[in-house]
Amino acid sequence: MNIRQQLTQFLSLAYVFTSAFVIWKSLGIITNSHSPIVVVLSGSMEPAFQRGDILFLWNRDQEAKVGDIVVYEIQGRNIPIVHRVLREHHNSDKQLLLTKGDNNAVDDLGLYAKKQKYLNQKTDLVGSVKAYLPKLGYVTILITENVYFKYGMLGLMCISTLLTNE
Amino acid sequence: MFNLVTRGQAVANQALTSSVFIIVTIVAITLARLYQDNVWSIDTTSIGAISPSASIKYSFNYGSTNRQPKENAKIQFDLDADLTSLFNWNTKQVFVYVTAEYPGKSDGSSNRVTFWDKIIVSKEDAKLHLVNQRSKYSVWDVEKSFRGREAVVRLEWNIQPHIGPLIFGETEATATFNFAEIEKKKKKKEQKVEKVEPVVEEIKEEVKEEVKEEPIPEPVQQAQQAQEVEEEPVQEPLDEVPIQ
Amino acid sequence: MSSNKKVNLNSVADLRQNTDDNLPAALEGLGYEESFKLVDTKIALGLSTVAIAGGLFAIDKKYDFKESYWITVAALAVYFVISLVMLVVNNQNKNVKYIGYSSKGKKITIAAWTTKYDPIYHVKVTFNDDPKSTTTAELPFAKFFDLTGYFSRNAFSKLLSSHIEKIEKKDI
Repeated sequence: MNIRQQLTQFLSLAYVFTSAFVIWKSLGIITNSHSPIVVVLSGSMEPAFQRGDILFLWNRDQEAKVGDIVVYEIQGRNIPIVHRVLREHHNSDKQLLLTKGDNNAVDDLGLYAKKQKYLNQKTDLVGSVKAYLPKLGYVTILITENVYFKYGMLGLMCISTLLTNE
Repeated sequence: MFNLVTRGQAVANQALTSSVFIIVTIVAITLARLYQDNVWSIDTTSIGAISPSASIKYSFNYGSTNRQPKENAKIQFDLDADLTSLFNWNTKQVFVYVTAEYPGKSDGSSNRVTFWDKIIVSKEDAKLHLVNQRSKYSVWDVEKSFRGREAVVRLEWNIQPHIGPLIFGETEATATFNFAEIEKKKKKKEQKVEKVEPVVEEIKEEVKEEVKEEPIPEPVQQAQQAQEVEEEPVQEPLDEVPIQ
Repeated sequence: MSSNKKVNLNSVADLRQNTDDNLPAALEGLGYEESFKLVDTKIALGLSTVAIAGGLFAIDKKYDFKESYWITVAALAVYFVISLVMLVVNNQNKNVKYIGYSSKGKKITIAAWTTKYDPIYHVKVTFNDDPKSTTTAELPFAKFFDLTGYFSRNAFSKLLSSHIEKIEKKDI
């Protein structure tokens, strides 16, 4: 086959992936968050958030407010936690936060690193939740937890691009 | 439209565009409704009869570092609120919370804490009438003590929609109170700390934001100085310039 | 050149794609030599965007968000600039399927498109990039696809050349 034809076909397939990835990275830069869209994985914020809900984050707020729902990661652990700000203390340099899940009986002190008493607003937060879509994220839970589903979806995407000539 | 793939793609495209349109419309309608109901200036609330109390705690779960005394505060209050205007068809739940805002040590520093919160799921439960309600949480400051500072109490709310942006606000009612002070006879309890074995905890590199305690009465200071030698340099209180 | 295969007569897209693929052969028969400059430019631009995306992906894997922030911004900026260039190039060469030069050095540009449900192959022929020497013709697919869906090169070449010669005669 003609190499130009092959390259052109390859490019139209690659376009799907590159544009999706570029959109994701751009969102991250715009929101200043390394994960601007997250899927709720636990039930610690019920009844507000259920497993599978999609949250849209924003990380360019100067300060967090009490009552804000934030996503944070403890240093050294890669698990993002979605909880509400219970208390905040700030001066002109930094802000310290204490969080708690709505569905938990106690605050998050036990979740922080050893001897850590507060979260640092600038360094520990992934972002604060600004908007929410119910349940649609369940697809990603399926993709991460169910291997067949993941490859099935990828396969479908490739096939559909190759078959279209419009 | 002659094969499954093309039909599938066309349907998917249409579904995507329509759902975006629908969501935008829903959000716009919700916001318009809320504006119409004047939810950002709810004045049918009142907070009063605030009676604060204070206690000393020594456990890490109550804010204490190295078993040093830490002042904890609680309040009792009366609350009347009519939050029914926050409920419309797009409201999944309303989270209400009573906050107290008080100043810090330096200029530009401030603190806000939650004493009590509640999740309201339906319009029928949106009328609150609380008498002598005890606070849910035992609250401690970044400093060792509240020093009897004055705090402004507010009732704040957060609407969690079925779809769309989270909406926050506070009601018009405010009240003030001064944090209760611990009576001086508590000094006896503080002296006991001297005999407690210094608890040497593992110092990891990621230790963050250790808050140095306020200057404390003499007898305890010596015990603490012995401990401090073994510890990593403790960071200054929030309201002074942080070391790192 | 694609070997003759059966084309779905119910799909305008398929008919058009197949005809596009046969354009180079047909024009070769008319004495033109294909110029790949446009195609190569598009491919080069496309590959560079893929390269940038690939690089971004590698950086994303290796460094964390804060460290790689400004490099990511720079890479994204370059990506969008290249995409913009591609957009402009595509716009200026809308639907261009073939560019070639005759033995005398005359440049022919052929743009071809279809509307969604009409089985008509619209062809726009331009000589030497001169907007005045342009003809647009409507060639119904029925004229060069037989009943079973096979492309007839002879029928197509004849049809195409008659239109091209019309302008050629005008030019000369």
